[in-house]
Amino acid sequence: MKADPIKEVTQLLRAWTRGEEGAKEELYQLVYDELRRLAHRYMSRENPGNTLQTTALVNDAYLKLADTKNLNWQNRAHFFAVSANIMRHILVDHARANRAERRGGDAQQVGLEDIIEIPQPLHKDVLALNDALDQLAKVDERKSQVVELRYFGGLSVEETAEVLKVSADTVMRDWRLAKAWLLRELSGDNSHEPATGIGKSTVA
Amino acid sequence: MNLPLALENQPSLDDVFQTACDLPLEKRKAYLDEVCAGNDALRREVEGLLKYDTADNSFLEQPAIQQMATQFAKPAPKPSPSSPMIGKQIANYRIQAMIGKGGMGEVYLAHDDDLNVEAAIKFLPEAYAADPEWQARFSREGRLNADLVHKNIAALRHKGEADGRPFLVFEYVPGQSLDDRLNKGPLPVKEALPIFEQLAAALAHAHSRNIIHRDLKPANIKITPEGQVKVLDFGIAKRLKTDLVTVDLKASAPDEQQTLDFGETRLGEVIGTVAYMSPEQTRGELLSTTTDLWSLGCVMYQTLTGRLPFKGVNTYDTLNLIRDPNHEPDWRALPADTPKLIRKLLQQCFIKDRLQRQTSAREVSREIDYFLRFGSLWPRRLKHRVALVGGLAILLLAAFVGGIWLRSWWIRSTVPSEKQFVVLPFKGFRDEQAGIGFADELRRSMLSVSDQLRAMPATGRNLSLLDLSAVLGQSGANLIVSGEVRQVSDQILIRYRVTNSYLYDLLNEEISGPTKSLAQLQSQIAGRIAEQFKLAVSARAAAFGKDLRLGQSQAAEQYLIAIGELQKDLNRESVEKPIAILTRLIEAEGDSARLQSALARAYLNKYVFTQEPEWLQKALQAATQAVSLSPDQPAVYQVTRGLVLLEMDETEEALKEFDAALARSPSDWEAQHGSARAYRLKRDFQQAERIYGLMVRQWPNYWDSYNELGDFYFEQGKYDKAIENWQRVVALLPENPVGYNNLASAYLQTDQSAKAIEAYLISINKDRTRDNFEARTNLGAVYFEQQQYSLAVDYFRQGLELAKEAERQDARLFGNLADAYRELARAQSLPNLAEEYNRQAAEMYDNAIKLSRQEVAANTADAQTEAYLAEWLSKRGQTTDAVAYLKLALRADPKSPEVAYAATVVYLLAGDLNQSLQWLERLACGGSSAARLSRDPELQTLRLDPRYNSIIIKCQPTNR
Repeated sequence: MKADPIKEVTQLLRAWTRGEEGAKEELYQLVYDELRRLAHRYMSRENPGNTLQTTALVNDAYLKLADTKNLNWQNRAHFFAVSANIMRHILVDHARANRAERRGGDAQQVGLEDIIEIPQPLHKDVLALNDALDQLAKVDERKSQVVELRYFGGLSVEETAEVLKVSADTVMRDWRLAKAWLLRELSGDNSHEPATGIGKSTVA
Repeated sequence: MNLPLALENQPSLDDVFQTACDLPLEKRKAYLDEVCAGNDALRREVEGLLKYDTADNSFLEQPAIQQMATQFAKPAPKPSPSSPMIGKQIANYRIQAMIGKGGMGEVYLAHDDDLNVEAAIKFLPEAYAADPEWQARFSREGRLNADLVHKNIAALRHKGEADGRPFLVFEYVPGQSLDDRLNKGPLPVKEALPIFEQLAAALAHAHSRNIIHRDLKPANIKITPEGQVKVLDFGIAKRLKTDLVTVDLKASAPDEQQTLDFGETRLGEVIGTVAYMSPEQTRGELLSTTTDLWSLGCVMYQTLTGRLPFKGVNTYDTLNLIRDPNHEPDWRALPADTPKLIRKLLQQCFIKDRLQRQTSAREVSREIDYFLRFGSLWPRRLKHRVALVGGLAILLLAAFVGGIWLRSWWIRSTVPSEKQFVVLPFKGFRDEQAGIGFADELRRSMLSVSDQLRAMPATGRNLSLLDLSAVLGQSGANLIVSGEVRQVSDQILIRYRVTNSYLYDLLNEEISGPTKSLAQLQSQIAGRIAEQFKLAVSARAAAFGKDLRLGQSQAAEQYLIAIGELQKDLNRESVEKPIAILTRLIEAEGDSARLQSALARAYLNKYVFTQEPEWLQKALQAATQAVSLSPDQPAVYQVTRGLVLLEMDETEEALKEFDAALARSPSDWEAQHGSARAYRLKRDFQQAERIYGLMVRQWPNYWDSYNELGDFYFEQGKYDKAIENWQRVVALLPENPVGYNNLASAYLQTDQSAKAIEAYLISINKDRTRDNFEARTNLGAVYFEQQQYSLAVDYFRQGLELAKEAERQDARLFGNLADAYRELARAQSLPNLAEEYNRQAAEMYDNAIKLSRQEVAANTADAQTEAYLAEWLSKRGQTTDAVAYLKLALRADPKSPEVAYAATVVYLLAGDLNQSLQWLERLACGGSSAARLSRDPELQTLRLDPRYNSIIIKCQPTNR
């Protein structure tokens, strides 16, 4: 029979905290499934009239999957970190899949999928942002994490601070710089120095 | 240079950026001049970033998911300019774009201003809008769709009419059609299976409503961006009146027209549509639900291969291929990783003869669902994932998938700590009954080899591994024993496997030997299973195998058939057959313990069915013989003898047998069970409770112990404890009605009728067959108590019909129904209807009377039956007869409350109020609930008498 997911998440988080390697992958899969389900619900058009709450999806998943009574804050932080990372994968995958589909359908006459499809620019945004975030991580890992947690994980400043074990103030500062950095990267502004070592060698 | 966000002894980019940000614009330059003196790179970097600091205030401010969802929720429709409907406002719908047009109607995307949602709105084609025949068809389409509520079927929201043009409003389903999707090529297996599962589920729902789709094809199937399947266009669907409908393709009535007739505009469409038709459909024959199964097969085949299963050079040719009994689709076109299950299902869908195509949509959906959840892993899946994502993520994902695989493998191969086996019928016997018998004998062999080998029989109709959840849910087991046999002349080859709940084989072996030594072979199998799961083997393990001595292989099969027959529901035929076979075998093959023990059970069954005491005597003889024939006397025989003795009310003797059995195998569940029963009959509740406690501790996950314990508490009026135990039964055995039925009766005792009703309804839902007719009858009784007589009539009637199917004739079933009709008539103000109800009541009373008169004549009636008979007779106005039977009942059991009640009613209806009140007094003072008496509709006139209240007060002073 299927194991109880709640117990499993709690155990997996503990195992992971203890440094057991396999635990992370298992946790990933469990959280992935739950988040994907939640994300689909969020994105489904059931209630388009409703204003979507900023309540983090991740919080929902957390409440659903974790036995909150038996977890310390460290586990919670781990969980948030993992979830934000997974959310990023889900949304990026989603954008990729839609882009791929669109490519095949372009030449044909207007069909339903064109009418309801997510507008093209957003896919580009998510995918480009994803790449830019990878670049940022190479330069400053923490700032990239701040963005991942806040933007993909939907965490508040305080929650992000808790996960990264820094002050809320630091998160705010990181957030501001990271946004400027990413915007510049996304705008294709080449006036700045190439960000990576590889980039540099080719320029030279 | 490589970007230094923080360098030693240098102002860090972080600090400089943040400080600059906090400064007013005009002061920034001065600050940067100072802090970046001699570090141009840093300055350029900070200035570059500052430029973007305020460039886009909304950037990243909304979490990604919300942003995507918001975008998603705002479609940007591109209206097709060609239609005059676009932009029109019809009722609260604003037409936005045409999304489909065909002979059957025009479909538009519309915005529902009231609900602020998108909707799909369907109109009759303009040319037919005024045609009454088309309008009728259209309104039928609406009615049909209103009956379909399923997550995989596009839902009908509203029916309306504007400017004389009727329209239907459906849920708008975003996403592309399967047809569009297939234009880009076939789908990989792992993407296709969830689609198949949902398609079959949608059809199963429609079929359960007696609706067939008749035009299932990829163009009618939509897949939402979330991967949910929605079947559209039950436009030409048809409700089955009986089992079948006729479709006459040539008929001109639009009601019966098929897409075939509409497609003349484009040839491709004609071929496309004809291609999904079943052979019977192409011939215009009778259609049943299985026509949709054929079409489902076509869709599945096309989804996997990208091509149609039956496709000729032209329509005529295609029709011929579909009809040709010898033409099969090209199986080689299926991708190599097509699961066996799907190949099997496709073959079943493509059976050309409608009557042979016996699979159901429910089955297809369930089997695929199972496969998806527990089925084998496909190594190919890994490839798909990686190919899909590509780039940087490959390594990460590979690690993922590896982890998942390992985890799945680990889970799949788990062995439960408390092992409870269920033995499924073995396949490969000429007679199916022999397979059932084989399973039961193997189960007994397992019990005799080790009392830790707890094995249950598979009950009911779910006897296949394909029905895994049902098998486990109904038996409460966690390991499944299954297998098949092959017989070649005198030899038998047995393949047996033990599978866990993930369908993972924990043991898969073969054994062979002479058929006549079947019993020894089974003992060896049981031994192997015990060994595999490290269970202690009892010293007498081999004895049971030697207790059956047969000279010829044919005798072995006959024996198994007899055992199989013993498992059947009791009816006239099934109680006779095993006795005949076993008696013959004992004569021909010589006496042996196993034969006698089986014969004892056969006689016991016959006694239970006929209630004729002579069979009980014969059962005891056979059971005694079995015990004496086996020198090692495995516990099984003693348990059988004990059970017969219990039935004879020889409690002490029975207890001795069970004790002896327990001395040999202390944890034998059957022996414990028998012993507890015996103590209960002796009214030694302490001992009984002690034994139940043992059973529960020993098998904490075996439902039947809790079931017995619940029954034990119920019997003693400890309803809360009964409820507690039966709730565990329900938890351990969620698919079996037994727990729910028991719970319901306990709820009734504690005046929780709402809960009781709920429990009965679940029970009925879990088992809708004749085996569960009592749930309906009892639910009827609850409704009767609640004075909801029409519901009572419904459920009594259903219960009665199912009982008839089960050959369970019980006069009370007729009597109950009659009472409900009687009350309906009483409450009915329209004389015509009241008369009709009275007529129904009379008919049912007469049936009840006839049946119980037979019982009285056959001398099998007890006081209760006679009392009921009297009551029914008096309700039919046959007072003299009623009083005569009442006297008989009184002589048989003067203290019975049923008799007192009958007397109250009989005298009341006879007009003898004084007598009736006397009986009421005996009834009330004898402990009958005042509440129940006050609700009894029959006693209405009695309650009007002032003496009624004083009697109740006198008998139950605290109960007022």
